[in-house]
Amino acid sequence: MNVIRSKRIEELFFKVLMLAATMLVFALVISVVWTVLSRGSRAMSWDMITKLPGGGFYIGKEGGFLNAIVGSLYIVGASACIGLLISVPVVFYLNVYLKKTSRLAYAARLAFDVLFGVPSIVYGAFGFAIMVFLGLRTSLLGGIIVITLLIIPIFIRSMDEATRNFPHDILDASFALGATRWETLKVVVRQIAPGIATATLLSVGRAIGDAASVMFTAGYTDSIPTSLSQPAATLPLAVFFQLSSPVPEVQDRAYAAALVLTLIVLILSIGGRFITSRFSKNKL
Amino acid sequence: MAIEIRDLNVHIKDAHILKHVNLTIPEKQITCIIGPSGCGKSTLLRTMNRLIDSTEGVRLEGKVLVDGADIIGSGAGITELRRRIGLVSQRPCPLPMSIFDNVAYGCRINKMYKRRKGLIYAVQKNLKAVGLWDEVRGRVRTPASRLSIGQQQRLCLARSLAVEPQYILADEATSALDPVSSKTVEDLFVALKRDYTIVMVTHTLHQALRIADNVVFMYLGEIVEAGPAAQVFHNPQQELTRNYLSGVFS
Repeated sequence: MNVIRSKRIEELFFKVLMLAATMLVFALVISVVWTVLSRGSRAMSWDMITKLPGGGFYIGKEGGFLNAIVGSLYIVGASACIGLLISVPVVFYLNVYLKKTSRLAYAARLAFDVLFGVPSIVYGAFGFAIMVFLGLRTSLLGGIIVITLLIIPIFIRSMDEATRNFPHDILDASFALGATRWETLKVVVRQIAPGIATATLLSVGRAIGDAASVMFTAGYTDSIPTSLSQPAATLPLAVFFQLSSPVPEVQDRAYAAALVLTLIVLILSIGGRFITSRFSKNKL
Repeated sequence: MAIEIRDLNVHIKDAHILKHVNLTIPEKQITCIIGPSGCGKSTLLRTMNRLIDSTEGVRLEGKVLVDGADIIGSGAGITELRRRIGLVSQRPCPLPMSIFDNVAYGCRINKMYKRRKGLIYAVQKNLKAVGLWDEVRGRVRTPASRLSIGQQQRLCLARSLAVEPQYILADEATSALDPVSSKTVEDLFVALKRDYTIVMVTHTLHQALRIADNVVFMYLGEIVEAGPAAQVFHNPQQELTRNYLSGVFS
């Protein structure tokens, strides 16, 4: 009887422990959202998201941070497109063309893991070095280059994860019907497209929030860039600069910018989940 | 003489998987390949449509004549060869698309029908041929993954038939199915041999006994005995075959 009793206590203990850990995560999410929401809503107004910073914006006078919203969307949008163009072929090559035991695939995955682990400030420094070498100044282009570098390993890793365990029987089934590799690839796309879409949105969500990499490369400006060679503001830096201000109103505006950033990430995450559930109906 | 195999050797990396295989597979009959696991049955089957090519480190020697043409070493005709030789694998593997598209897939990539009407007719015909039409009519646009395992296997067979092959290779096609579905698929093969040459790898001797016209017994990569089913089952010439059939080893 004692054994059963002690087993029961053990079971209960670990169950409570797991529940507590889960609750802790929930509490964390709620407190982050609450902080951003409560402080951000004080400064949040229609002007904030539709106007550029006016004179004296940074000491609490009128204006908004539309420059940062547009800059962030420009940079992340362009980087995501370029990043996809490079990542998708890599993921296909790794998973469809190369054998599972391939050394090249192993080496490539190791390289992407290393790149994935490189801190974003290092990408920023690397991008800065490239810009100096090319004679570029802080600009939209610089930001796009660095965020593209940052986003590629994230793309590849998450897509690889989504693609890796697709049933290889599909290849045989398609080949056995007389399909070529290219035709078979189209079938594979149908199977893994939802995974790729989700991976894309989640990666974009991560990249849009990165401040360190754009600090020296995209720079900051109060206007919306009209060409690739002009500097561009971004939301993470808008948060950073305004939070460093001694004026409480300006600090609240930092939280308003953080709120917008959080909302964008939230929309991307929900979009990712929606795509997964909506388009994976044919998936095996 | 439909498929003729002459002195076929298959190496995968350092392993000699098939050793000096000589075999003739007669037309419009069911030929069952039996033998213990790992004896090379599936390798032999996968060589006949060159699906073995996707195995890493594979090397083929010898001749496999399909309708008189050697398929070993001829790279160009592989996709056409595979169209003529249908494959039903052990586990059903529907493609990630609707029931209709699964059957239509092969027709589409081989550009078999110019008009949609022809394609719809072909899909219907082949679903009927495997006895699936009555079960799925009205929901052919739903994902194939929603069918039961037995239905999926018949769908895979319909998909193979849709590209109008001459041969059907079945690799333990009923082993993952429940007894009822298994019987349905088995009966299908018997019905299909009127029009197709069928080569079947099977694990169950009883199945071979029920449906085979010819039996090939393999052991450790070699063909021990091959011939008409009645002869191999009731009057085996080799000691090894007798032992296998009487259950001394399996």
